[in-house]
Amino acid sequence: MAPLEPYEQVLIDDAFLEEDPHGEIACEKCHGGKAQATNMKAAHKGLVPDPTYPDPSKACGECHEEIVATNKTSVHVSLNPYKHIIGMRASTKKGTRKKVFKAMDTHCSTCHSSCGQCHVSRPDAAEGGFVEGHLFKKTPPMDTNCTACHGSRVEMEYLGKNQGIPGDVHYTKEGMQCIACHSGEEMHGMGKAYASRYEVENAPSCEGCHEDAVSPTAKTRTHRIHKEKVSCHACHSVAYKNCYSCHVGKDKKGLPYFKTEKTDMAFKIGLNPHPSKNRPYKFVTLRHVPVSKGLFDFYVKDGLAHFDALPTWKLATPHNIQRKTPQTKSCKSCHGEKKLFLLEKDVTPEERAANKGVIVPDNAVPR
Amino acid sequence: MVRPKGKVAWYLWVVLIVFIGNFLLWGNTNSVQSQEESTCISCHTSVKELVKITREIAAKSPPQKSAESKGEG
Repeated sequence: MAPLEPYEQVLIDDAFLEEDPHGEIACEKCHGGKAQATNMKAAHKGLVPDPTYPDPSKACGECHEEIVATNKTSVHVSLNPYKHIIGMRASTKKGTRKKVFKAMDTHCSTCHSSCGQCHVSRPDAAEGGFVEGHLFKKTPPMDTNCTACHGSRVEMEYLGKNQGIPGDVHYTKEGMQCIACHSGEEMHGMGKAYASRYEVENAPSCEGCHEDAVSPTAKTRTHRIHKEKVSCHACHSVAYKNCYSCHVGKDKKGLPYFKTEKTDMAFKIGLNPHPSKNRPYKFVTLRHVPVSKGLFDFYVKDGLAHFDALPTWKLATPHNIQRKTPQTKSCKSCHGEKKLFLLEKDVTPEERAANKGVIVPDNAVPR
Repeated sequence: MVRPKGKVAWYLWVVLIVFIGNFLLWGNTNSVQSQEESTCISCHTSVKELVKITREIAAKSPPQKSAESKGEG
């Protein structure tokens, strides 16, 4: 995604005023400020750049009441899974916990979205700026809005930007955009505070489109055999990105920074940490996420006192699906193929306790 | 009651239609008019003006992102 020149970020297109119904609304009604002022400083006094965050009810609610009603529960807005994960790992000592959550607000909570940051502007986390001269986009463009944030893993995988690894078949063969699977209803929230994005009830599933693939009379024998034992991704995805460690802090100028140690391309099947109705599988793909015990050491020592409460190899749904993969060649491609599985030796000693629920014991590798 | 006839009636109808029309269009006209008079619009639709201002702001503003960030997030 090409960056915008600073002037482009705030340049209103005439088409917004002439064609977009939102262009009929006076600027100050949504953004505040002083529209009749004669200089920039006075005009921007009290200005709200994104009137849809954190509460969109005033700017959007008058016309889009139903969508706004559930907006707070959208994981893009609430970041509830982050809060849940950090909350599980954080110290239970009141003072320490408070410092952890303050650090989280400084570093993690800046990655959120809002009505405006999907339908009008690029997200703030991707440096903002109008998508198209303040025109409202009913469907947010994939490159400026979805992959602007979900770039490091999803975009690289889906578009085939990881060297030597093909893009997702849904994109390379069908050109499907994110919205083809991830509906507006999913993005807008359902009114429930989910602890994980995998709990979102209207999130996409492979079976949603490929219904026959997992039916009792499925044509493919391996589908009939594995359907509730192995996730679709375990057979149909290929190597994906894993990030290791993360430390956050503030530099001499007071600006927040993060440092991750390394990334690698790997493919690991492990035990399903959260079997559920939608994901009953025993084996799933796991991705190492950027986290470490000392994540918040800059702010408070031993902030993540319960680091081992959750695995660092997390349930993953890589976006690089292929019909044929190294795993689908033959039974022996997986059965007895230990290198595909997350074994104890693949996990650093300091993270073994955290991952004990997902590491595949040697004797549990399918033979 | 005396009912107006002929030209008088015709004029009264015209006045009535113009009045109702203005009333119905008032909200919309008011909004368009306010947009036209707005400093926001005059500035934010002018490339020349915005280039000048954003350059001035960039020259004065300190960097917003730390150079110490490293790796993929």
